Amino acid sequence: MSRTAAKENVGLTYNSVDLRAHLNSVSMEDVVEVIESMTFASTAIEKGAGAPSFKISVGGPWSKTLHQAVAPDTLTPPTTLRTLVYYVGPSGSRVTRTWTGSATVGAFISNYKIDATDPKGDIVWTGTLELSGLPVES
Amino acid sequence: MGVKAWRGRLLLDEFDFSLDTFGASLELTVESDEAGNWQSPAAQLFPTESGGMLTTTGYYTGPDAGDIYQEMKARRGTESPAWVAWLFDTSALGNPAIVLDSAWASNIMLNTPVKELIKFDAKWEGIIANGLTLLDGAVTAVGNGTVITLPAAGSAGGTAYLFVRAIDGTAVDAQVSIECDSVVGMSTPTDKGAIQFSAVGVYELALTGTVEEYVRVVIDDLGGATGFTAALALCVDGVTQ
Repeated sequence: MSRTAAKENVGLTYNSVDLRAHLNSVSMEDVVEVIESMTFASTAIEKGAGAPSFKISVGGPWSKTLHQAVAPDTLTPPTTLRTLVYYVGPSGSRVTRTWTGSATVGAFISNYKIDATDPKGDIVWTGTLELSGLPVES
Repeated sequence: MGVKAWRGRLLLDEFDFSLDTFGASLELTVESDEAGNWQSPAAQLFPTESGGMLTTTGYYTGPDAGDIYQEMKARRGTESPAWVAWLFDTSALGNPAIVLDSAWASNIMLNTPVKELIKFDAKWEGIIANGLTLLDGAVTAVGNGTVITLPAAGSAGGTAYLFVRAIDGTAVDAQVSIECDSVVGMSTPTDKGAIQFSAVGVYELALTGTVEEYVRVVIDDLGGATGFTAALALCVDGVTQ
């Protein structure tokens, strides 16, 4: 089986803004609530699956374009959640997850940090995208 | 190409402490509330309150008025309004700037490693405004400033923050105003209000109603001074914040 490089094979669109040029790290966390269901009749620990939840951690070089895309939402959080599209993998063997923005499904930014602590370097940023509801997968 | 960190400017009221600052970070946070229901197959969340904190790192230069440590210490826990601004990229006008309104220092830590310079970290609380820099530098004549393009037009007003850092000579009612227009040529500009000043300090102008996409400062009057040095950040509700 061939391996897949991350560059050119990961994409993230937030509120119709393609963030690829502003990212060098994307980590998607897909967690299922673990429900312990052991009873006195159990012979061992029993666990069941609860509801899933999703979160994406991002980071990369900071720019004016990036700032204008995310800063307003952190100062005035949207009442209608934002549409977010995330994909991983090369064309032809790609997994795409789409949260279409609505009152209950979609994305918002819960943390946006601009970091200029190294005067010899560039400004960088990190962020956390909270995801509400189930995505459509394709 | 990225944005160089060293192009930042740190303003604390009328003081420009960029030369004594070598680092900063701004963290904006939004609290999330669980909003699941009986028909939701996955966790549902909803954004609620926003907040933020600015951290700056600089060099200790002395205990006198106008020295960075002294001025920050004077605003530690203060109930007197102070303003802190970080202009992210001074290579050009129109770049982002954040302003902490009603700012105060919540934590100042002096760091004195034995083989290094004396440095300190300061944490700033305040009401965070986000905008674009319309003016930054010396002004020696009346006239129109550079036209800046907002991401979009706004309909809910906003706030302009003018940081007057120095005045050459004596100014009496010097005046700076904000204009906007729907065309880049600013052929029929709309006056959104003016700020008058006679001393260094920070001045706010509340804008109401529509703020069109193209904006600029206009230096209306030097007030008898030969010039002044200032920065202006324009924050437009529903557009930049």
